[in-house]
Amino acid sequence: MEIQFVNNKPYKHIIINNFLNDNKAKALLRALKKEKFEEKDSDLFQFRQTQELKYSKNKIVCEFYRFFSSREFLDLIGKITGKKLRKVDMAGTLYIDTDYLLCHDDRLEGRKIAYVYYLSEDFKEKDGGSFVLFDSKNKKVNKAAKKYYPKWNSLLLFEVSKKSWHEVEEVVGNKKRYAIGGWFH
Amino acid sequence: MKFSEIVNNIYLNKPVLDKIKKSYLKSDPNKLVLRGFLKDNIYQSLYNKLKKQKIGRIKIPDRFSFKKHDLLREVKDLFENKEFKEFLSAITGKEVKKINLEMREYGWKDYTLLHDSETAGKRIEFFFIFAPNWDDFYGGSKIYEKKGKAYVFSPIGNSFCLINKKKDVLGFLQYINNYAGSQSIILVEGWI
Repeated sequence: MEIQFVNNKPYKHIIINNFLNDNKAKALLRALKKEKFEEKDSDLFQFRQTQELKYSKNKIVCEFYRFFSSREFLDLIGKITGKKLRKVDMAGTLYIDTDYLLCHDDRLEGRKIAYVYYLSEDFKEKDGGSFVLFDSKNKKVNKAAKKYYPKWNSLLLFEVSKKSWHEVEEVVGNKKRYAIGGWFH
Repeated sequence: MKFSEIVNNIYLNKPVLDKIKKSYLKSDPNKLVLRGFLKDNIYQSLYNKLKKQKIGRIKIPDRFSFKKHDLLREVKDLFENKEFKEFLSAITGKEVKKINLEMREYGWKDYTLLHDSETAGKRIEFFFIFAPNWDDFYGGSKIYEKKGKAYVFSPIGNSFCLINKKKDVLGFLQYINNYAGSQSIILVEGWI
């Protein structure tokens, strides 16, 4: 996994499929759906987001946060990515028909590794919502180089850097793109 | 063709123009929308000519995506002539010497973002909209933000919009979604 993470192009990233036991993932999705999602929009995006999930009152969501922010898990992700990690931000996101996130690099003080854990059921490429990675040319964003559609129960990790240009394609149709995402610091 | 032969007669009427000026100066930031700006037949014939142009998309992912049109002679004649400059001066109360123009077409997946440094800074911006059969739900509104407050110009065809963009006002064109299908809007965008 460490080698894959480093070698993947256009910048360091990895997809881990079947991240949780399937029943656990389904229970987490059911719990996530009970969270309150607030609509967010700006020039760059339109989607729905929960509060920081560490403040959730739902037992299953809290259990997932505790696991994800545990020292053992931080060390595991640190080993894959070659970073020393000390904490994690976490929020649920929901993209419905016409929601999108345009191209940006995620850079902000302290963010080392970004992650998206997909809890989106039955998504195909035609449904949109794909995560698109852009390559860079002369230190500037260039063009789309790789694309991952939101595959059920997969975890995407990428290094936040000057090169980490990415977007979420518009969701087209009635499917709901649920995910949990944030950054390791 | 003269400006006065192209523009809806109502906008050539002095008392109407005075009211428009008053409303423009009263708003903060200074802005206005003039609907049915061109005579219908002129609007339609310009649009038909524009749709015949073959154009390519330009995209810088972290700044914008749109198709750039060549400036039609008729469009230049309309927005670069002396009468139009006088019209702008009459509204803004400022002398208008040079007008910068470009034409952009926005369809599904097109947008511009706030942090486009080319559009930052203080200037008076105007845009004229071609948008047949457009629904607000498709996106494509031109939105200006000032200290977290948004001013939205919906893409209504045959409208002329003007805004005095101070340094702290930033603008963008809202992402156009899949409901637009193959439809698009064309904007003649200018600044002084």
